[in-house]
Amino acid sequence: MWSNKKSKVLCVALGCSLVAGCATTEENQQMFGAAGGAMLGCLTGTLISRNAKGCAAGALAGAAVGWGAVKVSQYNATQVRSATEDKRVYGLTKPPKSTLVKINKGVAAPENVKPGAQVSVVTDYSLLVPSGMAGADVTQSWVLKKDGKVLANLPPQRVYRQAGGWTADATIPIPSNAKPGTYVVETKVRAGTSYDVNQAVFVVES
Amino acid sequence: MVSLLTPLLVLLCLTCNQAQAQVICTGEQERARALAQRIGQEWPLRGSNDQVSTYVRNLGQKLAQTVAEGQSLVWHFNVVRDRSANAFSIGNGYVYVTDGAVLFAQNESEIAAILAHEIGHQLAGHFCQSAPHRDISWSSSFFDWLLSKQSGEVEEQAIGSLTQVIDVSKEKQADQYAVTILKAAGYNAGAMLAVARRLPKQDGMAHLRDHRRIEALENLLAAAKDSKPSQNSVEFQQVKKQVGG
Repeated sequence: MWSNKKSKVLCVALGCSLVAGCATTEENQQMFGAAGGAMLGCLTGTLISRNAKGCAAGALAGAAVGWGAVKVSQYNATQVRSATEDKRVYGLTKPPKSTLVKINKGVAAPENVKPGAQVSVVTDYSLLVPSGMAGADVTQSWVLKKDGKVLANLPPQRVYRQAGGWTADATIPIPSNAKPGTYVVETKVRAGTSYDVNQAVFVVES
Repeated sequence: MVSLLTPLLVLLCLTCNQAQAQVICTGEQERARALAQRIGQEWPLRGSNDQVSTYVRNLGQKLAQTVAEGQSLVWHFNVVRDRSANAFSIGNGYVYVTDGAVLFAQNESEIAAILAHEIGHQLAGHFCQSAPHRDISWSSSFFDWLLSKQSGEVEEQAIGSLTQVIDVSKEKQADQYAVTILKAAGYNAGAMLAVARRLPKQDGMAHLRDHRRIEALENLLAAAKDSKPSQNSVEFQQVKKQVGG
């Protein structure tokens, strides 16, 4: 059974991690991740216990959150095909009445990573918009899973995109305490009512 | 034993071909396959092993097997990842429903009603009209040739990058089949009416809300004297939760 003080430290550290997870995200923005969780944990631990031990306890609690504190550390998206080129490559027909989004492929690289390293999730998708529109708001989000269980819902990226083909590259840091095994990162791209999902796999080595 | 079975199998096969001939028409297979391929390239579809796809496929198969004409067809039920409610069929047993249609259905009887209506289009032979001469983009206007434009009760509606033509008389025919299918499968046929009445005008299934169809459905259901309560299942609730998550 946990003491009241330990419970307080853990709860506040978790709260900070969640607040960090809810922060507004921008493209190419560097984010806290597990380290940020530990730092915030240290700060809040100190505030609660008013000594250095509190900092250590808080940092430990923040870092122990592991996957729960992980966020996309870097996000880049590039238009790789115009709307016209997309039609030629993927056989898209005339403009739809409502926005359509379709993931063409998605991979995680490298396939094998060490704890503390990072994995890059690359997603290629096509955005099709009704005539009269040049683009649409696109939301991209990621869910990390292991053995069918959700480990983390990473904060989404919402950006306006021109119609056509896009490649988005999201870098996800692997917590240093990540357990070895096969992980699945589920990428969702949504535009209007249309959305698509892709699953990519990577292995955390011991 | 084999000698006894052979004539029986031949007879079954003949029956099968006759039944298929009623619902699959010349050129329909090629047209539908080409269009299904195009839809698969353009639209975000749920995978065949996905829980939602499996549920819709099993329910669709169960409904289609309740009528003789449906038993001889190979059915392809697909789920489109789209939050707006929609459902349509393209011939040769290809039926599509969106995530939104699953979310819209309040119980299993209602999603069964939506599927039964689309099965009804196939069984009524609504994909039998031959395609007019078209250029390479014919598939984008696929539904143009499905339905007659002579009745004055026809309107065009876009589905993704396709154009669907809604013909009230054909929709009524599909409803008649749907009521028969739902009753045979043990579902509350009145779910058709519940869906039709609740549909918002801007949704892809708004054609179901046409007042002429609603009146026709009311008459059809009154004649059918179906008083079963709407059915639900744990599986449907799980699927709906997954789609909504």
